[in-house]
Amino acid sequence: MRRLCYLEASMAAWVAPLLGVAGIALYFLVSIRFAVYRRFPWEYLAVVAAALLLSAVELVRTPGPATAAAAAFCVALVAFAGWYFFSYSQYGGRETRPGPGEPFPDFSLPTSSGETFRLGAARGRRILLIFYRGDW
Amino acid sequence: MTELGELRKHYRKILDAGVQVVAVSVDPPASSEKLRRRLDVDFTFVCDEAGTLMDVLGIRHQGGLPPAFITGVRPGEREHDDIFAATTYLLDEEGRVRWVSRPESYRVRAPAREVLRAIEGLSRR
Repeated sequence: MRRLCYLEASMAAWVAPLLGVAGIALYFLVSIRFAVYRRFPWEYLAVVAAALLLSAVELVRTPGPATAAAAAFCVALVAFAGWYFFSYSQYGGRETRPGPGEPFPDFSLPTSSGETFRLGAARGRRILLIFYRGDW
Repeated sequence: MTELGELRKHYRKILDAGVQVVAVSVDPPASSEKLRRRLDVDFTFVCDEAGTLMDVLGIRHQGGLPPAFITGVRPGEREHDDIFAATTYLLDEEGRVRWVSRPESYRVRAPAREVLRAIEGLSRR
């Protein structure tokens, strides 16, 4: 009977880490595989934070090696997510010019269809100029 | 290219506001042309393979090219691993900047909603 209780407790301990891992995995799946939009992943971070909270509750309710390990894992996951999104993925200081009201420097570059695009020749038109990272 | 796919859904509205969309990347013309066909949209795709505008605009993301399993770019295929930090400018008829989006994180792109709001702002002037 005691063994069964222990088994149940250790299974419950798995829930929080799995939730945390699923939160992060889902973020990468949605942002890279489906690439619908790219925003700061607050909702996914909330899932990871919820996992940490859940693991803490489990640890308090049924203290033991399984719940302690689960809580430690969730702390590590939150630390990783925090480092990755708040530090690693930051560009680290961005140029502020040209800013609103300032002229955009002229340039002339080839287009995908083999023509030449010169910004100066586009005067009189409104241009949405998007510098994107690549075609992936 | 996430931001391009997102804007594609609002292309009619952007055209109606008299705005030409010019998309610049370090991709070779063949890749950009393939992307243009895939998105099936009349954006002008400009190729700055050498990254000549990176330092002019201060938008170089040094070594920013993701691993090959994401990009399909084989190691050594390109001269450098630098790409543009995702940046969006809205220019008026005089070639002046009216609005800029410079996300702090490379996981973030200019939201279409904000781009459309900036375009509406142009028309109200």
